[in-house]
Amino acid sequence: MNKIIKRINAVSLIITVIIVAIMPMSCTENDDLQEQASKWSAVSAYDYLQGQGIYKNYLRIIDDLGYKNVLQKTGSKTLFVSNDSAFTNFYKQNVWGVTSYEGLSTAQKKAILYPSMLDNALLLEMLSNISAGANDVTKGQALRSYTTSSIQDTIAWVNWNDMPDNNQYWNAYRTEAKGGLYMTASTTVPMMVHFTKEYMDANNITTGDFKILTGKDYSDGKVFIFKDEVMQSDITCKNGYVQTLNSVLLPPGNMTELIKNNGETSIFSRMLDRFSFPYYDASLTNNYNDVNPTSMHDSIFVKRYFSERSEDNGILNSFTLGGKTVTVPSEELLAFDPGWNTLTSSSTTGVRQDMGCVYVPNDDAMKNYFLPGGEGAFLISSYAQGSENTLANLNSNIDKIPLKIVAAFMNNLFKGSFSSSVPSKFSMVKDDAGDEMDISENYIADKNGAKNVLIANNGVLYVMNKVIPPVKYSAVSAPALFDDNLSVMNWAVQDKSYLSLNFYAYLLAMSSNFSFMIPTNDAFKYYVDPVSLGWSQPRVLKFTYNGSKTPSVVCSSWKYTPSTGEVGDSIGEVPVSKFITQMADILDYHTVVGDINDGNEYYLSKNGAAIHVSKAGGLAAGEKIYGGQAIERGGGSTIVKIHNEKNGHAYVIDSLLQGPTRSVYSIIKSHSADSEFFNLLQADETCMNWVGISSETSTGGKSEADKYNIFVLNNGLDYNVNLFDSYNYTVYVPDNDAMKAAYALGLPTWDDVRAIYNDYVGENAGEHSEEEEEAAKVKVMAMIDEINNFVRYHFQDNSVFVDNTVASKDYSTSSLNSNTGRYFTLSVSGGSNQLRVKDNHGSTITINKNDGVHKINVMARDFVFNTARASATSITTSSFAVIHEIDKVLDYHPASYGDRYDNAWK
Amino acid sequence: MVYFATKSTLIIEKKMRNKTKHFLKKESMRLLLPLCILCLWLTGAIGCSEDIDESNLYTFTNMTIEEYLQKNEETFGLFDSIVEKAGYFGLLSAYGKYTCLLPTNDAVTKYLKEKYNDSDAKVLHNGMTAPSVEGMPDSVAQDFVQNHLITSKYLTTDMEDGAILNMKGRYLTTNFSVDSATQSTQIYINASSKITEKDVEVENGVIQIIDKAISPSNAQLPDLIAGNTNLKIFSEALQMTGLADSLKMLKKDCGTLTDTYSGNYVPTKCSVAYTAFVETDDVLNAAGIHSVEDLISYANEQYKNAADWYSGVGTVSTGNDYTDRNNALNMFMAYHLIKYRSYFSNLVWSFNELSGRTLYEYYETMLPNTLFKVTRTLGNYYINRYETNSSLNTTHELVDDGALISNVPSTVTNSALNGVFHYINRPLVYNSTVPDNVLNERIRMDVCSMLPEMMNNGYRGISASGVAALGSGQTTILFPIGYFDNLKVNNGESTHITYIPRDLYYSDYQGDEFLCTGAYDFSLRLPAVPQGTYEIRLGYAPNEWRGMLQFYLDGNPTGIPLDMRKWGTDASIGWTDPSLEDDGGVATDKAMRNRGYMRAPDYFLNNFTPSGCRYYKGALRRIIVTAALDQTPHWIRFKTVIPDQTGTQFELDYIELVPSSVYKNPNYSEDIY
Repeated sequence: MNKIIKRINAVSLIITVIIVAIMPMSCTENDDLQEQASKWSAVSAYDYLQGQGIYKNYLRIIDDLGYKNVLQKTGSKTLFVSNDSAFTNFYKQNVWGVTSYEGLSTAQKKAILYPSMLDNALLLEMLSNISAGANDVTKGQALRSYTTSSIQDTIAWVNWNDMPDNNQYWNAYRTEAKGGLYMTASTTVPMMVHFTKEYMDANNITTGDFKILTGKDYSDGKVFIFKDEVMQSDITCKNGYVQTLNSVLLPPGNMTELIKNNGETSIFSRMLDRFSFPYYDASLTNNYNDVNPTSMHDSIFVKRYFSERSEDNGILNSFTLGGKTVTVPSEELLAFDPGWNTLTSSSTTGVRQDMGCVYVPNDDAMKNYFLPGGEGAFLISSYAQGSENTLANLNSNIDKIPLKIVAAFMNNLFKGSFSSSVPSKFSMVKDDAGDEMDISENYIADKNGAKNVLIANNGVLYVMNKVIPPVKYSAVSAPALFDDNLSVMNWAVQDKSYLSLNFYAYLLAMSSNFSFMIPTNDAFKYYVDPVSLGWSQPRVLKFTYNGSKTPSVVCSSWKYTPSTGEVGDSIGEVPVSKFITQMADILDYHTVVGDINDGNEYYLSKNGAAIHVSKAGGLAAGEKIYGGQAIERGGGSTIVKIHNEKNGHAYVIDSLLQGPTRSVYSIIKSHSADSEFFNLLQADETCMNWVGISSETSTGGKSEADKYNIFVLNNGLDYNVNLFDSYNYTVYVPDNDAMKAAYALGLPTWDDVRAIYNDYVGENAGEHSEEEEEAAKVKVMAMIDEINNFVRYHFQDNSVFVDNTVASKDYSTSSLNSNTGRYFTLSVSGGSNQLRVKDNHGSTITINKNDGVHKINVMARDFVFNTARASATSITTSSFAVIHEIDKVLDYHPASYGDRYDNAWK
Repeated sequence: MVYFATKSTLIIEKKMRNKTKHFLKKESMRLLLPLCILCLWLTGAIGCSEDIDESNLYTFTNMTIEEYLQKNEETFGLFDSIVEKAGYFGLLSAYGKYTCLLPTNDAVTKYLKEKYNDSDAKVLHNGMTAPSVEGMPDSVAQDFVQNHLITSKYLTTDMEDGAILNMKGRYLTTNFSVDSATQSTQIYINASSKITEKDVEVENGVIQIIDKAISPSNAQLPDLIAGNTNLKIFSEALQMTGLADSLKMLKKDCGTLTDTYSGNYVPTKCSVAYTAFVETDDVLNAAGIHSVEDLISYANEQYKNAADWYSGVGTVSTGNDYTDRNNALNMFMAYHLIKYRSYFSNLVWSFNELSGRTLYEYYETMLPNTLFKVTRTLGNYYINRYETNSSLNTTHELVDDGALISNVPSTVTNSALNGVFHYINRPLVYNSTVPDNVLNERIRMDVCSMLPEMMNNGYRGISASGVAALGSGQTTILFPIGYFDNLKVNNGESTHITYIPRDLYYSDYQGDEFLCTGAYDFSLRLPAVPQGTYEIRLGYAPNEWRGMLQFYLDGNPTGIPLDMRKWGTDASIGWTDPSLEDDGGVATDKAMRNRGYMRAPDYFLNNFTPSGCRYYKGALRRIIVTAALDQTPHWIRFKTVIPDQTGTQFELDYIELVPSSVYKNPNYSEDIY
């Protein structure tokens, strides 16, 4: 038994030893318990510092600010303190120009003390912990911590002549008479940035990154506050922990402040100022005055930045100035607010977990970029005409570059996530198109033998010796961005707020090859609004750009006479919500995926509508591009200029491309040589009803008759092709001779069907038995099926034009093979202005574009509006078709069926 | 009584355990209690509120597997000894959820003798020094135990005709058969190990007692087929066509990942496997095929005109170069093979679907550019079963049963090292009825079914706890770049492809999804479908955590970017609750389609409501593009347009390839299912 007891004791001992051994590790993750643990120590943080005798400056600040009691008798703090030696060095050189303790203002004392204190007792290894539920933490997650700082401590007087002079929103305050403003850089509190092994490991930030970030070597266990190393760590006091630094911890400010104050990025800072505005913060003013009754301020402002993502992760695109609301266009917003102290990397990432990053070109890089010979000199020559592009004029010249262009420049350099943008991850940093950004460590400027990297309280600034321009400057949409005369189209492309299209992103597909037609602003003054074509008074829309309005494009409507094309009196303004579908239609129609100069004359645009170019393979300024409407009415869009861009060509054109307005129905109907086929497309519902094909609509919204009706009323301009479904099609229309040949082979007509019907129903009906009538109905049913299958076989998916080059391919038709449930197909090939169409029977017809007899390559569009045409207000969808007149019908029957069409009933 | 300990404290000499066991129960409490109190005090005093590794939590409320073994040493002592030798004592003593396939001493003895005397062994005596536990090398003992352990708890009621994955990473087939004498249901593991005592529940799982030790076949699939005496014709044809050689891969490059991002399980290997659907000689004989020559004639007849309906093929050859992929025999055989490990119960996947919905699955076969469909109906599985309008909501008329798939008899081993085979009851051919009828419907595929690696490595259908049991304790899987053949990442580790195991509370088809984050840019290979005009649709569940992306089809951008953050009720989508509309939502369906969206199908559940996802604003379909597709694979590229928002998610759940004869059929409207 004794042996057993000994073994038990041994087991117990092992367990106990293990538990005790693991105890310290398991205790590092609970703040409250740490606070308890810290109570074990005998002296307060204040008394500890006092007892050391080397923290006199720091203690004087505590005393002066009335913080002694807190740090001596209460509180649960972590202090990052600087000793007197550090202060001595500080007085020798500092940004404030203070040379002694006595020279420190109260504000400066606050700026030293409060950012050096955390309101929790934390061991250094706990700095990176993030709470994960009530009783858990996750290590290595936090990069930043809140300090004792408050916004009120950051309020400072800004002299009038320190305000941006290239920004109208500051004009009212930038007067000598007013002297200046009380202002702070953000309405959110500044935070402390700390680099710990845990965070670096968890975020794959290497020691090489660290070296570049701080200029210092990193070894395990070290903790840095901004760039300052913690020298002596985790000194346990009764009310917290003391950590010591070897320099005075001055708050660096946020990214905007560092960009402004570092002395080497003034040009970029000036560009940034153009997005800023003084925001009067009533709440902050009141709060400040409540706690500072002896030094109250009338008004306290915050320097804010127009941005897509600002404080509270919301958009900041407006403010009140002089009682009026100022709203800026979406294309003039920064990607995020660089002045936002608690900037998050995304709306779903915690404030402490990450921060921002900007690759800030230094002044030399900016000069190299913008001055003559530089890649961006064209911007100066474009926008600062009349002003020589010299160094002396550089700032004022850059000021003239429109904000939307500056925004694109900025946003390519703004990166939301610091941790994803460190040098070791440069190969994964994306440009504004989402592709790999051309960035390397060599682009980071050197300074004092190290890389010039600045760490702000809300992000890291890599000072760059090279400008990395945005892809938007070289994408096919770039001409619209740069040319004020193309600003309407640019607005439509870049808009993120009103149209819900995000077309800019589509055109940034850099691996594609677009042809993008960009109408001039003048071109936008004549847009025949398709939704109005069924109104009693059709209208023309005029779109004009006005950057001071919101949205920047204003639309007015004018009376329009379709027969003459004349424009009459004004009808009124059209709000953006009422022209979204039309603008989307314009964007689609002006975008072709592919090269419209590759040797053909016809190309399908993004929405399936076709355009026609005046010279196959020879487009140049002066040549024309025709939309469907121009072909219908004459005219065409003249190419003003062609821009070769990285992902295609941009064609500046002098009038809008407008799609065809004629439906398939109206085109076929209007051509007498095709009347036989047109007649065959007119289903006889009376006869269909007689044989049991019901016209009643079922729950699914269809009737039996629907599958025989080729044309239906469906909120179009007239009749729509029932076989279409928001796609593009080819319709082969046999001429009358072709149809007669088919009739001769037994293809029935509706007249044939009607004749049988008349023989059985109506006044002149003959005498027939029930059996005869049933047989007649069976025959009529077979005839109707034959007609239906026949005509449907002439409607093919995909618009294929007769052109110089035609891809060989099988396409589905709308004629359903009842045996399989699949559509019969046509095999299409061709080229050299011919189209060869092989049908299921094995016959091939050849369509010659220039036979001089038949109508070939006729464009049609079937609109579907939101409601009946007389009251339509938007385009719901469209189907596009090309119509070819053919001299021989297409036979869906296989050769084995024989050449006749009436085998089923004959 | 509870105490905290680490696994290491529990791995103690067995002798000490045995000697202390009695004392622990009867006399040690008096001594141990203060110690435990000390432990509790210590842990409490120091505030151990950190996350406790639950796998170390040990509750003495019942026997563990290990205790069961000890208590029944006379019957299972040999297995227990092997457990100890393999070093798994601690595992089977600790908290967890395991299934132990427990062979009796007789079974173990027989196994040891067979292994020792195995004349086919590549290593003499399979490395054993004697036909005893003592004669087993430790590594053999470890393999033995791993083959008998499953890291999930499987009661026999959880089993079905199919397979379960053991700790060794091998799939063990589970077969049900009825004993003709007793009319009782028998369950066989890996064909020959019968469960003789079911569902012995223990504290850390369940024990299934078996009469024969598990010894998975190490044969590759063609060899296993060749070893089956009723598959002579099939096997010979497999060899003649060279396809047997195409079925011998075991693993492939797993890809790379330098940044594994905490919180995910990351696969470190990638198995390759196959499934063959085979006609037995009997089945072929019944079709008039009595020799491989007959089969060649049959294949020639079936495929000589295949180009008429099969545009994805080259010029069909009826010559005697059977290794030519366009040779008719080769085509015939290839259509029987898929690059998926698909056990009987996994031929279709049942999870989260509404009651009464037919289950189906599409598989790419090794006949280039072809699919076949497996349908489960009334508990049976068929290949290429065809009902008219099978994806429409009108009358379904059965035209063709399809080839009935049957699990092999319990006496036949069909689970090879790299795959499995199943019997089918008639010759399987990609004839015109497949594209014209079977596949002429809305083809909805879970993304997992496009990625064989998901099935071949046991990830498809896995639960969160199943992922956790893979080793890291994490419940999601992050895939290395290059892991998948059919999913190509275009920008390296900027793209993070994470698999989220199925969960009833996701509004997902089959309950699972991929979440793609980072500055993602990747392409998914769509299977070849019969030539025609198709709508390609993406099923997704929008919410504020998502992002915005641009689609590309074969390199060309399509449509405008999809903003997945917009709920269905956003004006640009226009979702409404169909249950509140007089027409059941038909008019809104049409309006949504015009905007490029559709409601989710009324096929799978939304458990927030709960009802079909058609009735949930957080489950949608986007029509990516309408296009004329050749019968070749096509690639859809997904690229974020907000690359700086790396935390935003792109959810990839299922794809629909819908021929125009479905979505614009003149006779019917596409159904809501």
